[in-house]
Amino acid sequence: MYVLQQFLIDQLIIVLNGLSRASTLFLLGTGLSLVYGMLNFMNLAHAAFLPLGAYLSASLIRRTTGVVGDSLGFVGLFVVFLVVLLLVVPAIASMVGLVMEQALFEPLYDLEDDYHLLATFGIILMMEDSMKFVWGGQPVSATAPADLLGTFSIPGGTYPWWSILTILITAAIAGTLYYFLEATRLGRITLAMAEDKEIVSVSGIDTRSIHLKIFVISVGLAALGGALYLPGASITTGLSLEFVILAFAVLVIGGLGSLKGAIVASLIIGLVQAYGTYYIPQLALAAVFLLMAAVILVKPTGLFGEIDA
Amino acid sequence: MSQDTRTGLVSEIKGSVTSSWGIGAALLAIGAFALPYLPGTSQFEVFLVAQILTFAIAGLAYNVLLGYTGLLSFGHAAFFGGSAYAIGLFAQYAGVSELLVLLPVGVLAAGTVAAIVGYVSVRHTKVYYALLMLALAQLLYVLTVKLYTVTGGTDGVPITAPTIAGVDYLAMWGYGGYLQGVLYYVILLAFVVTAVLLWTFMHSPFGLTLKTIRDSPERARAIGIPVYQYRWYASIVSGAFTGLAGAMYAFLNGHVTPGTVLHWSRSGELAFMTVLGGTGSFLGPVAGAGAFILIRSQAQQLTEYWHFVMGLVLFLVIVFEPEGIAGIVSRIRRRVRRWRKDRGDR
Repeated sequence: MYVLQQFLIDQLIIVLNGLSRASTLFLLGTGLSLVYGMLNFMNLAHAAFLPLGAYLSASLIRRTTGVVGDSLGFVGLFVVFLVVLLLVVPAIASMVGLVMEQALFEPLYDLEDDYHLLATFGIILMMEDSMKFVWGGQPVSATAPADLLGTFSIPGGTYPWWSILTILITAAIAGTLYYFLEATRLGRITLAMAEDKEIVSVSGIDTRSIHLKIFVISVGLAALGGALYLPGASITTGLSLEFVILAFAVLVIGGLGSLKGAIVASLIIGLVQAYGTYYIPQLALAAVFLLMAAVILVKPTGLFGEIDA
Repeated sequence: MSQDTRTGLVSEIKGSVTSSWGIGAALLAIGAFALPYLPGTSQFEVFLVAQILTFAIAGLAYNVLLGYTGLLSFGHAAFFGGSAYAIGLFAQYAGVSELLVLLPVGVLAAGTVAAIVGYVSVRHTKVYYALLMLALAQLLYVLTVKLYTVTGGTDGVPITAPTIAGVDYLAMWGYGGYLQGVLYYVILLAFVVTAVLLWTFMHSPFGLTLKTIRDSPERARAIGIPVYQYRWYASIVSGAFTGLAGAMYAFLNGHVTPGTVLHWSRSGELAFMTVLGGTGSFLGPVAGAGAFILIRSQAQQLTEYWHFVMGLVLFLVIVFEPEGIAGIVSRIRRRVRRWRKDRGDR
């Protein structure tokens, strides 16, 4: 009886870990997928916006705690944190993304696919070092929001509420995105552009401004992923290079340009990583790459993708 | 090889030897051989040039896929590091420290990895090929990091200076003498062999077939070329020579870690050098490797944030001169020719 109970608790923790991992991956991968679907633009540098969001969050959380930390009560402070993490950080990162899109990414759109990967590799190197310049090479963390929420106890241990909140927020965002793509004008144009850009542009729609909006939204999502990731972990330089691969794994497994695919793929990768970490820690990450390779081999369009590269 | 291509080849060689470019190349070659004994060269310069030659080998090998076959690989670190690691681990577990044994081990290991990885990935092109290579190479990286009981994990593997045909030059001459008198020439020789072999490959029917496939896979298939098979061969050639470069890197640095040889940013660097030099010309990647190492060593002395400088250079090259240094050179050549012609008309 005790063994069974312990087993179930372990499973619960693994699944929760997997879900919170999947949340980060979804927020990261879905923007990449949207941009690729619409522009055919494979952006290696996309993954660098997640650390950017996390670094911004760290600075802002500390600043906020310093300025208003004592004057507000528990609830007040937490609300301020949420506003900072969910709105301010994505907004700032989106501004950065907007400027970068016009200055760096836009000149690349007309080049061949191969050059996209190479040029954005250059951009990610620049972004990594810029972040290192601003925030230093040491690991940065800011656990204040997670500390405020605390943990809940389960037999044999505790689990942070922050992870639960991350999962819930991400689920809400996935729902919103789904609504956005299916029911709003901008979303439907986005889908149409993934199908056929030229037809959309000859029907009198300013495709360039749509590009820009979607790009900015995708950057905001990645930054939000970073903002939600930070309170439960620390961040250091080199992280973007790790996230690049995971973002691609989401894209490839789910299918290029598919929201449903991004959701399912993040869940798969998150759970594979969580189970792997628990049972075979040596091979947890290797399993993700094997999965990615297997999907490309067996079904190159990904599980839900329709675009063939 | 048909008679036509052979005479074509010979006349091309003759033509390039007698031209001013051939003379320049000959001077460069003599300079490279004499380098360690030129007045004013220290260990630093010799090491730098040895590094350039090492990456020039890798660049030439990389360009077999990128320039000649039209495949952008983001997984060449698997061959580069695979070879370096094979050497390190073989030396460690078999207790062998002989260059003439270790070198084939490294190249063979890289060739084997390339044969396996290539077999599964050549069915795809463009972004999918790049990502598949990335995933497979990263698999090797992660395994190397995680299976630390065998591989030494992130600490990597030390590589002691090997004996060459049984002679321990390091003990005889010390590090400086070993580097300048032996290792440098080993690397130079490896470079020359690579350049000659790959040049011959790429100007043989094999290389021309690859170009046909690059320009139009459908048409190549239509005239009966087994496209996947040729891409696979090209992957193996490219992988094996990248492995040769990895072996030279291992000997030169004396230590390999997953972060320096197997991480995907190394693949990115190889792609960077090749594009910087120019994928459209055979010797472009050599110039690319030289420029890359020189810019990097300057940037490293200048600032801690040298990655930024490298990223910026890569970005600017792709936006303004996708043909790389070779593109700039040929533009200058055209301009000189036009200028000469104008002068002649007058």
